[in-house]
Amino acid sequence: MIGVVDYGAGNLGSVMNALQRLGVSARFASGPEELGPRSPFERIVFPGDGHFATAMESLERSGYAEALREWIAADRPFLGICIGLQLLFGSSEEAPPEDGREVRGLAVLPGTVKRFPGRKVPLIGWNRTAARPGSRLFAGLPADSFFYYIHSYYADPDRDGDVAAEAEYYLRYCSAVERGALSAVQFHPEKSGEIGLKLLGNWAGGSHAR
Amino acid sequence: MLAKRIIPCLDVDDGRVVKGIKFEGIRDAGDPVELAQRYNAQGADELTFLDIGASYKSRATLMDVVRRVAKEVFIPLCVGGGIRTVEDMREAMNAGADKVSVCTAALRRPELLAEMARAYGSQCVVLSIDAKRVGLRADGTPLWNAFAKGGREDTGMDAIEWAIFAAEHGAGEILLNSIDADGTGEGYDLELTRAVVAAVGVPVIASGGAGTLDQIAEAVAPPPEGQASGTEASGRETSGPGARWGDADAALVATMLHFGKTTIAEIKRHAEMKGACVRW
Repeated sequence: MIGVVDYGAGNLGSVMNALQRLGVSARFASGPEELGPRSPFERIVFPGDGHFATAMESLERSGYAEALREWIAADRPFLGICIGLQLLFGSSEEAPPEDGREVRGLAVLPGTVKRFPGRKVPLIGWNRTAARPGSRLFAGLPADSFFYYIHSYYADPDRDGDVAAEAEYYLRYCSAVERGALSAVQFHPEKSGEIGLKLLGNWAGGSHAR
Repeated sequence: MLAKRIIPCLDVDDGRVVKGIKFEGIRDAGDPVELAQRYNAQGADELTFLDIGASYKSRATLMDVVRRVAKEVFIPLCVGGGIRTVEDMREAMNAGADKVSVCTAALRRPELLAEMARAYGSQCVVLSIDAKRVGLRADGTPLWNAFAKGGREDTGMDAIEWAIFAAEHGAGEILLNSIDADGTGEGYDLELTRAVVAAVGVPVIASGGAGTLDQIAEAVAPPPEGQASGTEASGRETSGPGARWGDADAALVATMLHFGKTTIAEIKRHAEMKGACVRW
């Protein structure tokens, strides 16, 4: 069973539609307690759109922040999508320190989140994505496939080894990370057509998996 | 490399896809769910549904269409037509829309854009502008006004100024429809397209007027070599009123697709020949 974390950030119906299409069993998690040691889920998806600070506040308030950190620390299968990738890092230029107080992300990966240095932001559209060799998410997918992105900020990991794929917009940036059972993508696989479903299938198992 | 998007537009009236010429003269073009699946299979980069029925029943039918499409088709879906409030937006988003487009309601109450952006983020807010040439500016360049109510009412507002305002107040994309060109098959208003692309920092979707593959390709074609995207260099033939490139981020296509005159793949091949990056 796959659990989808719903913390009020964006429209999650399409993620659920895509998982159902893959024929894997999935449902929304009812709360952070479902991510504990006796979790009914083998894997969790952590999607979401929106503001870094708003999302983090909601995660802290609901108790999901702690539960997610523990899930990731235990190296259990995890897929972050969009802001779900950015929140893995410690801080974001979207939420600059106010009165010396910084909005901390989940901070499970070293690095920061930065704003695109260009005029046309947000990036909205299909961007060519170059996977690193050996990536499990992109296994068997055509090289340099297009995925659908919507974002104004990008993750800049400290460790090159965490980067699973890169894309280009004003600069070359990290568009997917993988480390152990932890994976996250900046694009929306649930909105990236057949190729997106294949990537989700690679992660989730199910009829699309190779 | 970001691809230029080709977006089929489905004008839906009471559950059927229809297409008008110059905002009038309606022809039936088929079942929306079927068409959505066909265009997805052809490589559409996104789908836009516009409710032109504007009745309670037509709206409910469209939401049902979106719900069904969202379970079958995994590309971005935009819903417009009759969206006036954040509540209307919520209904569309809950049905499976990824974004909504607003036109008249935002002209009447521009705060709507910011309210929608606060609720879902500006990436979910598309401002649709129906623009029509109404004369010339002092410098001899055309003046376009923004029209309300499906092109029937001149608001007296400069369409370029409106685009700039909207992009700074919550609109994450501009859907730019030329009333002059719509349904004529004589090509997009490329001068209008270039002017808006140069004026705003958000993606621009060109709409209205596609009659040939080359015309669609021109709407998304980048400027000639040596001319930076999103700038209007003056004094060059390539960027004068007759220049054949629009530099839009996406092109909306309806009539040419619905009546089987072409396919998405054919459109993309032509766009590629004109130097645009497309998704295969």
